[in-house]
Amino acid sequence: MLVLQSIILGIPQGALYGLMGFGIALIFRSVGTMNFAHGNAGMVCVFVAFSVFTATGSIILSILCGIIVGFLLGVIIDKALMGPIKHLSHAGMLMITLGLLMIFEGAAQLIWGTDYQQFPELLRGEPLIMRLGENKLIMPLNDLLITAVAVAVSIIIALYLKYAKLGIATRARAQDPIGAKVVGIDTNMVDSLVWGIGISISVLVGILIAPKTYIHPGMMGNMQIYGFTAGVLGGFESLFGAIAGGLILGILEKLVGAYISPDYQLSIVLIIIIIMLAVKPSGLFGKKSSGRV
Amino acid sequence: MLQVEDLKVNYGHIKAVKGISFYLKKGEIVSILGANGAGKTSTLFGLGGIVKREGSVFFKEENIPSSASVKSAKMGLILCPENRRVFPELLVEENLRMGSFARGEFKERLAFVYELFSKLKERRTQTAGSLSGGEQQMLAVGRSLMSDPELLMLDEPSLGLAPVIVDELFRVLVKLKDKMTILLVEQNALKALKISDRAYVLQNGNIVHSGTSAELLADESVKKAYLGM
Repeated sequence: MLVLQSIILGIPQGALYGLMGFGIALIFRSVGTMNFAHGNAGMVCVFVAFSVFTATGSIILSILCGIIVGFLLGVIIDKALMGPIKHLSHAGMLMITLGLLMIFEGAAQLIWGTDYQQFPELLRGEPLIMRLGENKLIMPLNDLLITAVAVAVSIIIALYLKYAKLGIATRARAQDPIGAKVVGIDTNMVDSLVWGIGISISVLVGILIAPKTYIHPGMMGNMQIYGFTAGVLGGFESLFGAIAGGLILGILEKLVGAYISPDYQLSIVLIIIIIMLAVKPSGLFGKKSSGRV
Repeated sequence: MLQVEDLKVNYGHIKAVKGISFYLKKGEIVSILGANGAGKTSTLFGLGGIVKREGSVFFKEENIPSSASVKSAKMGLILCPENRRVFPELLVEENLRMGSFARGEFKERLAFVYELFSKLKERRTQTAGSLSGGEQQMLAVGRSLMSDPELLMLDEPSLGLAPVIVDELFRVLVKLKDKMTILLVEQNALKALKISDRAYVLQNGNIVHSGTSAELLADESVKKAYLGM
């Protein structure tokens, strides 16, 4: 029963890891750089949402503001920082994201301080109580919401990438940039869009996790690591591998917590990355195809 | 239709195209011939806005700036690049849909392309990466045709294809002649000259010969260097 309980508890957490990995993989596939600042870019925007919330008291408005600012931040990162060096060096782009990681953390400390701020749960009320044989499993409503949002966002983005003209163009651009150019796809615009969507997802993850972690400059550190791991586990080549990887990770984490010790949760994650890279570098769902196409 | 003046393409210090001028009239098929590294692909990349270039390009009397791939695609100056450049993990039909990204009415063009290449219709729910080389080349040409080109620039369409398929492809090109103007870059010089009205010969980034196909076919030095006769 403990197994089932761990699985159920692991799903909301894993869904967030999955979304995080999905955003990182989306940017990686299209633009070709690992975004180390993914979590912190989201964190800054969660602070913006928090400021809007303290000023207006409206949760919906603050979430909307956070996500919109996240989208704009993504577009600005692409246009101002990535654009000039996009064709020159992937390593350069990687260094920029590392720089951003630190800049965002420092800026958040300067502007909002290092205190832990509280952000309200989006859904409060009677938790869902499930009977598992003799045990009772208590599932907070907010966790259910997290799962629902993560599933909904994944489905929306999946449909967008599969059927929308710009969504197909996004995949096309990732698979062959020259092919995309000759059919008249504005590849720079697609890149900006990808950055915008990617960072928005990170903001959403930040807002969903905020009631648990509180809002502070380091709130997304673990998310960044878990997001990467989700991507490595599922394979960066397939976007939905990241979501599956995230879910596996979330469940595994709870299982480790239940059977071994909560202290080992993070180390297990890092061990998984190493084993995965050694055994199957393309990830569980990755194909052996060339490069990042 | 197309007027190119003093076109130059540089990659760093390497001068791939050293200031060439040429033109195309509406309804013509014009070939650019030359050995590997002569600057053929760079010329087309410069025209299609894939790489930076210098010099002036006028298409339908309108100036096309450098690196304006979106603008040229929208105006109907369409490049079918070397090595196919199809989207391997997209389905055949998704590839064709992308062909009509900038212009071209999707359904109408799709019917036209499927009629031209019936193989593509059979394989429309397969990924492009799973097609054979010949089918991928058909797809690349089909994708270019989706955008209803006014001037189609084809870069080495016969590269790596079996002779039967090359023949089929060239038959299609002749069929397209009354619908669009074609600028053809080809290693298979004899085949290209047979369907072309005129041709330019590139060597080390300069045009060294030009004339009607009949003139070039009769020219001893061209024959020796490019036709192996």
